[in-house]
Amino acid sequence: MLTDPEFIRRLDSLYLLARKVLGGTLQADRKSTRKGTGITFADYSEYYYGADFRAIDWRVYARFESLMIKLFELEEDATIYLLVDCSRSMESKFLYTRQLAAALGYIALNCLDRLAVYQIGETLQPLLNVCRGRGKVLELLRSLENAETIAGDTQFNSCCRLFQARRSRRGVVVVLSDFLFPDGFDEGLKFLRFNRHDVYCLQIQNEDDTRCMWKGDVELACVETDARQRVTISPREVRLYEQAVVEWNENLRQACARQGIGLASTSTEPSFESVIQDILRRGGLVA
Amino acid sequence: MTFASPIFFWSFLALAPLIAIYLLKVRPRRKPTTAFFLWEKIFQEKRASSLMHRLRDLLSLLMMALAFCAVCLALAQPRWTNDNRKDLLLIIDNSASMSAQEGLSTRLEQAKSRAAQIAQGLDGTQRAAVATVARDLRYVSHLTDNPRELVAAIEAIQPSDEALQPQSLPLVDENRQFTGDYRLLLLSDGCFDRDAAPTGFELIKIGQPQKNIGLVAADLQYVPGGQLQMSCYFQVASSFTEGVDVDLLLSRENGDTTQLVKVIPLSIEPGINEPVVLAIENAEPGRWIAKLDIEDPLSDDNTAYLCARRPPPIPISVESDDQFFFQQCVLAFSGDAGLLSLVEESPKLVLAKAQSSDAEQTIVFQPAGNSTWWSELSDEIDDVVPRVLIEDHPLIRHFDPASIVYLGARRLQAPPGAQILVASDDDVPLIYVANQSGKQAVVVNIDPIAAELYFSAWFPVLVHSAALHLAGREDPLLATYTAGTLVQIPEAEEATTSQLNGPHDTKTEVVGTTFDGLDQLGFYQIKREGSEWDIGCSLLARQETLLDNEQVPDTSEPISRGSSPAQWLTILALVVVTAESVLYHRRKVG
Repeated sequence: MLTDPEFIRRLDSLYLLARKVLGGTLQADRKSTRKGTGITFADYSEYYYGADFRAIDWRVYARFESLMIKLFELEEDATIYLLVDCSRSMESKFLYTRQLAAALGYIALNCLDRLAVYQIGETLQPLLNVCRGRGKVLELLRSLENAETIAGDTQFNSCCRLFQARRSRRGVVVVLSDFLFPDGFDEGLKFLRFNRHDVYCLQIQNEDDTRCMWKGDVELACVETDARQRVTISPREVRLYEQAVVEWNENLRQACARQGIGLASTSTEPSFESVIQDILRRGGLVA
Repeated sequence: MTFASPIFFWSFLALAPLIAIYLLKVRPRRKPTTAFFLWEKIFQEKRASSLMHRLRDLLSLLMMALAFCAVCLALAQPRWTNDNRKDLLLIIDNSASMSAQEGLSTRLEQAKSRAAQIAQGLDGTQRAAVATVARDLRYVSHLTDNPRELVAAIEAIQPSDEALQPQSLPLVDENRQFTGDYRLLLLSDGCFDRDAAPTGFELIKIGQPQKNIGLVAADLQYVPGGQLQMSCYFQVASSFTEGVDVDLLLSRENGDTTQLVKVIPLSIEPGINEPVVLAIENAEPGRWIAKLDIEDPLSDDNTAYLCARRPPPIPISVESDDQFFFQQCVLAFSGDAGLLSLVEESPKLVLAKAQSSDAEQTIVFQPAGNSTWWSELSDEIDDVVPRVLIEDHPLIRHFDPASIVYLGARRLQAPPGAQILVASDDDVPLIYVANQSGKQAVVVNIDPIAAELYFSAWFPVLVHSAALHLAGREDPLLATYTAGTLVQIPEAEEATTSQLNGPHDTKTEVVGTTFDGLDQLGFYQIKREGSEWDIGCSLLARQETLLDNEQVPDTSEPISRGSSPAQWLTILALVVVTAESVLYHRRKVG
């Protein structure tokens, strides 16, 4: 149960860790790749007309007689969008996915970021409308607890378009899915990046997705569409399937790298806390 | 094609559940997958073989059905209608001629090999039994369809030294064990009298004509009246196509050594040669060996084992008022190598007239007075009409007791247990043999003078026969016996136990008066109560010696061999099931 006190205590521990790792205070706690006003030094830049005089590094000028301004990490209150894959393919790992979403949402709400949660499947459905503040934590957890998998093929690309149509404000989009979309993921991810979202992919796959345990005559049934096919699986087919999954995941990794999208892949074996901790230790939801 | 067990056709009904089970079996397990589209890509490449994939299930079902049908048909035991398979009796000739060497093997080994081939070629529906034949027919295996059992029985067959007795083959018919049709296959070299053999068997001819020489008859006897002069008789047969000069080595066995006594050069013509008789001077009694000095395919017939006997004469005394005729009668059988000797003291046998004697063995003519050998002696009887009660008794074997005029015969009563050989028409014993208290007597109820018996030729014959009978010598041992011959054990009775020592230090206890265990060539020795008799056993068989079987036709019909349709169907089922299993294995485990 996502609303159990015990679970919430675990989320609280994660938040404390997040505070320690990220080092922010209340507002604008979240790290961003964008530069702007803040207190954390990020980089140097040549002085340009209209730049803030206060940002000029006079020590550099004294040494090199060149005006350089210091850039600071932009600290802002951001909007976190959690896109949770609720298709039937996530059935076996749905609780795990919801736990991850709950952890991320909990941290976001406690960091006073705005948070919205959507379920993606054949279409986009809101689980939690945009909200802010720690008071929304329980609402978040309840909405995730009540979420169910939905039938139908996962239309990730159309869901992304639908999401953009509903939420034009830029934000951090975290996609929690196995990314085994028949129509692919490239177009959707490109679309999100095109609309200047910070996109972070959290891929959850278990052994049923990556390995084939069957041999001989089987009737394959798609868990989403219930499409069926009678096949004979020999070691060759097993090898081809596992190779295809590896290639699929590699394509996801390359697509994310190309577009500056953060990616974390996990199975359902490690605890969700360790996954979150790992993400935090790598600097948060950054590419 | 016919079916021995058509009831098993009902087993085809089980095809229906088999097909139902099979259809259930081939329905694959449903496996939900999250990456169905990836599987579709993989199997998109194999779509070309989807037709084969669909046909494979049908093929598998057909193969299972085929295997099932094959098993059902096999259970029904199909047979080809033109396949005349009958139970077989394999009779292997293991007589002496089958020991003839042909190349590296003997004829018997060839016959065994051929029989083993036949046995191994039998299928499970054809049964066979194995027997050997020489002197008689001996079964070595019961009727079975187990080839290994038959081959083991065939391998255990040993050669015998006996000649084949064709009359033993009819025993097959007498001991009929077979039901229905069967075939008698005689595996033989054909070296036997085929005219004397029964019909109804097929001869599988073994061996090729061989050039062989052998002794086919031999005898050794002392010449009556001669001073240690022995007469040797032998006859040789040859299957050579030309004359051959061979030495006959006559030697005497003296303890553990053999002393060559005479070398007789022979010119042997093809076929049965004329018999040869030659005299041997100063010949000692004992074991003699006549051997042809030649190496030929059959060695057993080159040697004859002979025993020269010179039993001591029977000491006889005469107790009579008119001893002359009795003494002359005894003296007629005396002399060198005589059977009787006239003595005055310590006789073994007493020849008495009109009186009895206390001797152990007595021949009494004209009973008179009181005696243990008769009772109720009374008046003479007139007009005696003799009746012979025991025709073949040794005592009266050599004369005609009915031709004697029994004048002076008196009414009397023979002692209990007496063996009455001749009696009058009113049952007065005329000639009888009696035993009492370990004593024996031959009583002749006749007045020899009144009946003029002294002038009759039957008188010495009667005395001689009675003496030999009382001494137990009426059936003298022969110089040699052929293997398998019945031997009369000297001086033996039904309960007598004798020890028989065979040629290869074999010892046998023999109870009774006869012995038929002479199955090995060589010398035997009968021992009993301090007495010993030597017996020679030789092959001496013309048919066994003449190994030329060129004229012997092979009358065997082809023998059905190979596996039965049921076995082929079973093999087919196994192959199909194996193939289906391979297919099924792939479908089951990929």
